[in-house]
Order: sequence, then structure tokens, then C-alpha cells
Amino acid sequence: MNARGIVVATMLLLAAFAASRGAAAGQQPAPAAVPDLSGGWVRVDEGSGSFDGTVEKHPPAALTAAGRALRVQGDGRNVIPAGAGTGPANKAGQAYIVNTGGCTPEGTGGSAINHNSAAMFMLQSKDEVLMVREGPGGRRFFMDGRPHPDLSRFTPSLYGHSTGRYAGKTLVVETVGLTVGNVPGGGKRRPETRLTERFELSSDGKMLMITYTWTDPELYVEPHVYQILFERLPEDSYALETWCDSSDPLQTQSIVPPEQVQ
Amino acid sequence: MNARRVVFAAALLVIAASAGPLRAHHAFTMFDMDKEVTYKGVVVDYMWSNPHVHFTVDIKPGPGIDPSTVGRWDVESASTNIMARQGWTRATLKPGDPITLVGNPMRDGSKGIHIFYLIKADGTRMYRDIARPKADGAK
Amino acid sequence: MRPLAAAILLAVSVFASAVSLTAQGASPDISGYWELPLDGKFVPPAKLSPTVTPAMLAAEAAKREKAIRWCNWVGMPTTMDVGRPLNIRQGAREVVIVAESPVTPVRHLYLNRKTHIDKEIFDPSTSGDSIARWEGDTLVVDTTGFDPTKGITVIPGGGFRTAETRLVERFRLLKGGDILSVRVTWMDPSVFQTPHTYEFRYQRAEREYGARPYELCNPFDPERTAFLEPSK
Repeated sequence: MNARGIVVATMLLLAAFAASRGAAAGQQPAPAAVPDLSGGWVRVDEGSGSFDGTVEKHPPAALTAAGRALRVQGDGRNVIPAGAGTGPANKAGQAYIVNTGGCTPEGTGGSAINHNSAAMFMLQSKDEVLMVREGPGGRRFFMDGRPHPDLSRFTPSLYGHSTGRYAGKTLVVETVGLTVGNVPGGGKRRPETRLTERFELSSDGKMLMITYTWTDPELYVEPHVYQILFERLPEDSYALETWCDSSDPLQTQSIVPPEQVQ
Repeated sequence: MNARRVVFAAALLVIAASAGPLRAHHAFTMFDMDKEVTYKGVVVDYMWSNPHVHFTVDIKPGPGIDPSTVGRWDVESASTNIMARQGWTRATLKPGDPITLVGNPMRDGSKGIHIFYLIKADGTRMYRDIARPKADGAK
Repeated sequence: MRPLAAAILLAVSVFASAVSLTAQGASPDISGYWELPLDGKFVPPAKLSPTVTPAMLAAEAAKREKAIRWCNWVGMPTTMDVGRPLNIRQGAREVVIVAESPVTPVRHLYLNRKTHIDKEIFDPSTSGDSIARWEGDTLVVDTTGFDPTKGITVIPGGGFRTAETRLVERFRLLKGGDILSVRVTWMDPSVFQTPHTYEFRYQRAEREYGARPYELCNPFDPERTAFLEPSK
């Protein structure tokens, strides 16, 4: 082979190698164009002193007269009357009965909008982002550009209808179609209320801030805004199953004063 | 006026039976949530199950023991899936373990505690849920 | 010219093998909404162990009635056949399966783990602990850690799950991705003489499908109670 042939052969080999690397890159996951929100998360307290305290830190909602007038029925599980616990003490072995034993609506897995202290899991796929708690169901954020349905033909539900998009490194989710209910900070919601959630990761990917904005000119003087901070669970974390059996008498009980041992 | 507006208008006129707790499947009004008491005792039994984990604690009189805390107590904690995120498992406590616990007592004086956190013999602090003392500040 | 021809041949070979290797490395994506049609089930009868008695089968059937009556989480295997589409979402760490039902816990099939959670700390559940891996174009899911006292324990074709039951499922796309085949094998010598295998074939729902809301289950609804327990 002459020198020209060697040069051509070498260039062909180099070109083939570069093309094969390109093919490999095409099969690998795309570069991180969107934030990695997938995985397990748990709320973080900021020294509030109690879980109730974490909710009290939310700014109070500025409701209109219509918003203040909107009454939301409780889920009916709590049977403790006002002022409970100030009467005579129960005898040893006599359980304090505190609820009806029902496990609904979200079960003890917890709400995927009003998060409790249990874990939350997210999974990002091409057309949908899932957010699930540790019970049945969950929320779906449709990422395929579909619009919200006509609310006059939509049955309101626990989690309504959510659509999402990425705005830079932020996931923005819009939800309508929620059932009438309460909102942290003394707010209210109805099917027409719009909830906007902005999911923002810290630079190290270990913390997630969700900013909630409730907008409804009928209920709110101005949009009601608060934030909840989450911490990423360790990579080897797994979802738990929150068992609840309404037929179990234990489901209705709180303290059972023990027999005293002298 | 369409159907939806009629329904909304009706909702405004509804007076609910109760506002209902926003976040708890039962409220904790039986406990004096403004009062935190420290208890030092020994685990009698430990029930790792839902709806709430419970454990029984014996507190004997002795030096450094508040006499008002002496007795056998039922300690109510959170659900297993909440406590698991704070490091609890069904092997966290066993009978005979000495513990110090901080919690809210019952208003009516019966021997029940709503736990905030406990401290194991090795100094490990175990919280019921995500709540932390105000003195600890932001995480 | 011969050395040049050899160089060209070598270059083509390098490129072709690189493409082949990368094609093997990419796994299918089973994300989507999947419906189980009437003709999508092939369930032969299970060969039960002779130690399984009619009384045991009756006890397991009673668990089913109780779980339904009291709105308990039903778990596996019922999660995979609730009469509505399954939402399956595939990520890098896990595959999540959500059924449209108020009583089916979400299934998490962990791709980022090769071993099951230590029995000393794992709380057995209706869904168990599932770990998953890709074998070529097939997602193989291995599940243990079932709680025999909770949920619906009876299995299609006969038998029931116990604390020692092991479940292996093989998920594979067919017909260009329009069909999802799930071959299910239950293994438990105390229940089955030989591993019990059946297959479900789900059809992909239309792209615009959106999960429909469902009624929350209320175990204290008097009409529902009268319907399920007419003798009481």
C-alpha cells in the first residue's frame, strides 16, 4: 500500500469509529435537559416544634366573602367532640375511641397535594409524570400538551386533572377539577380553582421545593401561595404499604391506659 | 345560570357538620399539645403496626425522676410508614430497653403520651415524624 | 487496492458491531395505559399440592370477601386485573404500576436493586417486594415478602399466596408495542405441586387516554353493606 492508501484507510477507520460512538450516544439516555425529580421524597420540617406547626407556618389565605362562606365537610372520621379529654379519665384497659375507623379518602398513604410526613415518589416518563404516595392511586401530570377537559363535563375528583411542562429547570404543573375542600393556610378550593405547582431542585439535586399557588377570583382576594420543602430519600429507599383495615377495632383507638404495676 | 353555578351557590349555603381535620385522621385534642414532659423509663412492649405504633413504658421512682411521671404509660406514635422515614423499624425497641422520651401528656391525667421524640440508651434520638424542636431551627 | 479494500471492510465491521451492541443495550419502554380484554387471559388450572385442603381454600376465599367488604387494600394478584386500564410508567430506577382503583396499592418494581429487602426489617405486604431487571427485551420481575393475612390472596387458576410465595413475572411487548404480554409464575411448594404459570395480554389504550376518576370505597355505606351482606 502506498502512502495515499494508508492515509485513506486511516481516515476511514477514524470515521467509522466516530460514527459508532455517535450511534452509541443515540442509544444512551438523552443529556439531562430536564431536572431529575424521579425518586422518593419526604417533607422537611424547619424547626416548627410540631407537625401542626409546619402547617401553621403557611401564610394565611386571603379569602373573599364567598371563600369564607364556603363550608367544607370533614371526612367524618374524627369522633372526638370539642373539648374532649377534659372529662374523667378512662379506666385501665378502656380505650379512647377517636375515630370511626375509616381509611378513606386517601388512606393512610397520604394526600399527594397536602403532603404529610410519609414519603412521596415521583417518576418522570416521556408523556407523563407520576406522583404517588404510599397508598392506592396517585397523580398524573400529562406532559403531552393536552389541554384540560371542559369542566362542565368533568367529574371533580381528589386530584383533578393536571398538565405539566418544563420551564427551564422547573417543572410547572397546572391542576383543575378538584373536589371542594380545604387548603393549607385556611384556604379553600373548588373544581374551578386552579392550582399551579412549581417543582424546583436544589443545585445538588438533594432538595426539592414545591411552590403552591391557588388562584380563584371567586374564593381568593389574591392568589394564595406557600411552599413545601422536600428532601430526597436515599437511593436504596423503597415505598412502604400503609395497611388499613376498617374492620379492625384498633383502627378506632388511641390511648389505652395500662394496668398500673406496683 | 348553568348547573355548575347552581351547585356552587348551593354549596355556599351549606353549613357543614364539622370543618373536619385538614390533615389527621384523628385529632390530638386529648393531649395537652402545649406541654412537653420528659419521661425516663423502660420499654415494656412495642407494637409496630398501623394505624399508630404504640409502646408501653414503665417509669419507676428514683433520683432524677419526676414523681408525676411514675407509672405505666401507653405511648402513641405515628403510622409505620411515617416513622420508617425517621429511621424506625419493627426492631427499634424491645422490652427492657431504657429510654428517655419527650411527649405531650393527656389532658385528663390518664397515663397516655403523644410522643415527640425519644432518646435511646446510646444517645440516638428518634423522632415520631418530620417535626423538630423549635430550638433546632431549620434543617 | 487490496489493503484499501481491507481497510474499508474493517471500517464497516467496526461501525456495524458498534450499532449492534448499542441496540442490545437499549431496553424497550413499557410505559403506557394498558387494558386487559376478555380474550387477553390464558389461565390454566393450577396443580395444587395435596396438602391444600378444601377448608384452606375456603379460608382464602373468605379473605377475599372480607377484603372487598371492608375496602382493604387487595394487592397482588388482583392489582393486575381490576377491570380498568393499568398505568405503567418506566423510569431508570423503577417501573411503577398504578391501577385505577381505590383499593390497589401502587406497585414499585425496582430496577436499582438486585436483592430483596432483609426480612428482618421488611414489613410483608399485599404487594410484596419487587425487584426487576431486563433480560434482552423482557422485563423480569421477582417478588417476595407477601403478607398472607392481608388483601385478596387467591390466585387466578387456583391456589393462594403465602408468606413463602415467590412470584416471577415476565413483561414483553408484542405486535410492535401494541400488546404487553405478562407471563406470571407463582412458586410455593406448600400450595403448588409445580410452579403455576398463566399469561395476560394487555392492549395499549389510545394515546389520549386519561385515567378516569373512581368512587372512593366507603366500608360504612349502608347501601353497599346491605348489598354485600344481604343476610345481615
